[in-house]
Amino acid sequence: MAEKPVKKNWRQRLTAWVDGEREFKDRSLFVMEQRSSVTFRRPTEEEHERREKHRLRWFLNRYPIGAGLLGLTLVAVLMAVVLTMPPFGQPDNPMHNEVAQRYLERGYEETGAENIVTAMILNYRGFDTLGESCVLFLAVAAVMILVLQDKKNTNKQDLAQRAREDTLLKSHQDTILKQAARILVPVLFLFAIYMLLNGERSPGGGFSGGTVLGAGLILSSLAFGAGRVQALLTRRVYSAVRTFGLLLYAGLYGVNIFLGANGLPNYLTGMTMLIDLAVGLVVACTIYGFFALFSRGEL
Amino acid sequence: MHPYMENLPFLTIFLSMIAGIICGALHKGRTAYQLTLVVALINAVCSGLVLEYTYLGDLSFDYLMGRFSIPFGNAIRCGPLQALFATAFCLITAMALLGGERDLFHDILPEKLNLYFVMVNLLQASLLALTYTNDLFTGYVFIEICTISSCALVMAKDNGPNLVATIRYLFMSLLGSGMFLIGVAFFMGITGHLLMPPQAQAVLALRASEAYRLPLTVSVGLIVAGLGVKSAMFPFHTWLPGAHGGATTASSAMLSGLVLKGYIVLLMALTVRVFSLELLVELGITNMLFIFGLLGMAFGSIKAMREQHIKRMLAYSSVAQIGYIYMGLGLGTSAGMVASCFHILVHACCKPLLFCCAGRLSAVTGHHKSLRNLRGSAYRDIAAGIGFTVGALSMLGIPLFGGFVSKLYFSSASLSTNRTALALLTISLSTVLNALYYVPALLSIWIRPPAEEETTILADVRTEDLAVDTPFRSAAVVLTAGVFVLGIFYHSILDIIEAGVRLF
Repeated sequence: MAEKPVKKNWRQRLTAWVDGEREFKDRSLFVMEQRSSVTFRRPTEEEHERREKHRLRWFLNRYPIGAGLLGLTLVAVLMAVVLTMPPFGQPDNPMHNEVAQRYLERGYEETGAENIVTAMILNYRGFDTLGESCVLFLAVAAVMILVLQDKKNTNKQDLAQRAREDTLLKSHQDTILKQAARILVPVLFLFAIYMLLNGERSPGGGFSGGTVLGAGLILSSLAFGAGRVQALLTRRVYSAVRTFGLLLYAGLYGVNIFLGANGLPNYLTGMTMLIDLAVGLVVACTIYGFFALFSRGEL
Repeated sequence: MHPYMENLPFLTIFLSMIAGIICGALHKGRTAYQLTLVVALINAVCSGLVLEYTYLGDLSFDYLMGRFSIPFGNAIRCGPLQALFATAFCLITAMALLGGERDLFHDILPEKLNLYFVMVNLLQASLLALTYTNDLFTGYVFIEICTISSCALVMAKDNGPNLVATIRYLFMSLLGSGMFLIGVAFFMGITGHLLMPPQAQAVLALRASEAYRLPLTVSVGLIVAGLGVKSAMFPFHTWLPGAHGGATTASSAMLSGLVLKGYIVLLMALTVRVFSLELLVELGITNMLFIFGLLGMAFGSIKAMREQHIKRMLAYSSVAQIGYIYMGLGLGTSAGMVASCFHILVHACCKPLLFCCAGRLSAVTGHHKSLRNLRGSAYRDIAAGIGFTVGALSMLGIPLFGGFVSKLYFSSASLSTNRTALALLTISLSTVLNALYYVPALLSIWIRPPAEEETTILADVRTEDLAVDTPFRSAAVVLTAGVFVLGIFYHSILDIIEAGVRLF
């Protein structure tokens, strides 16, 4: 639709400059329709498409070379750094200083946790671990924003499809999985609880115990159908457990920081086990939440 | 036993964290909104009290996050500068929520609103923690929180282009986090510490002994580059326009007003407390920051000139403004850093104002966003028109507005260095370029279009959008006042910043 350029006076030209050359593609939700400007010639659809395709081809031809070169340079630099870093395990490395020594020598006496890893992550550097637990909490919340069923991301077809799949699954149950799960799931839960409660003394603790607990939930959901787990762990219960876990952790650790920073006596001697438990709840909810949200879009 | 004031920074971090966790369990979006707003205001007041305490007492203090003294356990550190940033960040979060309130409840599904406020609260907690932290790894953890929550803020307005923008944002952000983390690992390997004070001593010793030169250079470079990618330093800015331009108004305001600044504040703390400016100059990192800053100032503005989408234009303008901040850091002097700190405040005040006003202007125009369709929209909501004008004039650097003072101080900071000509020329070039897109935008919102065009546009407007938006107005008044305060009473603010940089 090539038109002859219309002769314009200065005022029209100024208006045109203020308005810009052409209407851009408005990408927001609310745009009803595109108002095409009449006075300006814009490239036709084919022209535009051809130009875009050309640009894309140009880019894709050069991209692997550029990315490869950049990657190789980075690899070279990082290798050079690693080769000049202090060698692993030498006694006079900068890492082997009073900090590590104190953690190892006085960890038990100062924190009451025989497992030094637990002592470090829940006591010496507990604020970082609280931050990490918040990261897990946030990650589930972000996934919920994205995939939790709502009227924007699910339509009737999706729902019908999901219902069909459910009935199909119900009529073809996997006996081997079911029988194996019947034996495994109680053991998994028991082991998870052991790890959570014994994290102070032996390898384990909140993060690993919570993962095992979450794995048990996932296995039972796979073997006995999502409905069975959902009956126990409704959306409300799930959200309550998750919130309770993190609140318990944040509350306990907040009081601990307040007491510690103000030099008050330590009233929270049994804190580590409770925190381990709280972290376990958060981690289990995270693992199970990811599974449920990504497989069914609901909790 | 500390004076009770010294507990407040820790309490503000925990208050927003706990509010965020509680929001996850709330059912009503409105309740979560009110909770978030109240928490942000309480935090602003508390941080203001800390500011008074530290500035009048001319002191900064360490606060142990636990029972273990500095090289062994987590700690935060607070001085006048940190308190000032914390006050501004909390206040502006509250204003962004107020200013974008209607769009927020319009753009986001009601059943997911509480999750949005989880993100806002934890974002605030992470910004406060990034400002106060005295521990490199705490910095990393809260960078992660900041990344996830800011991506979710973009994603919350759930449409196709926004999801694409979020993915882009997430990739670039994770690249930045990854670089930062590798840098921290190397740095820990050669200094043996994670807390900043012992690290500073180790760096001094390393510089004196010339040992581990390469790892030191690379780790400092990676940390700076990681934070640079995350705060949209010029060549890494490509994610910004999509993310900030597409999100809902309150998200855009928070993302460009605050999130970008959180990383820069951490970088400043690392520069002063750990690396020292001399080391950065010696390694040539300030030169890189200076060049990228200058390029950002020019190219951000040029890109903004070509944009017709008002929010994308504002987003590109953020690239240019971040360029100013990095140029100030790149001067390698403490005067440059003071100017950068002041500019952080100015931009943190202006950009949310501009975004909120742009959101409101487009709401009274049937949610159209092109400058062409926004013509005459200022008459439909005078407050938004005035707010947008104030913000734009401040960005241009007109005297009495905040932006003027920061440009003045950038220029005077450049006088004592050997890069005066380059800095001054780029500042003036960037000012002209700023004018080339802000003036048309201003003309466009204040000139009435022909009557028939206006009626076709008004046909799309919903009547409830035309009603007076009181929360928006109060936010616009506060932010406008902020711009003027920064532009007129800048002496006292610069005093605080100078004291803060001295006591970092």
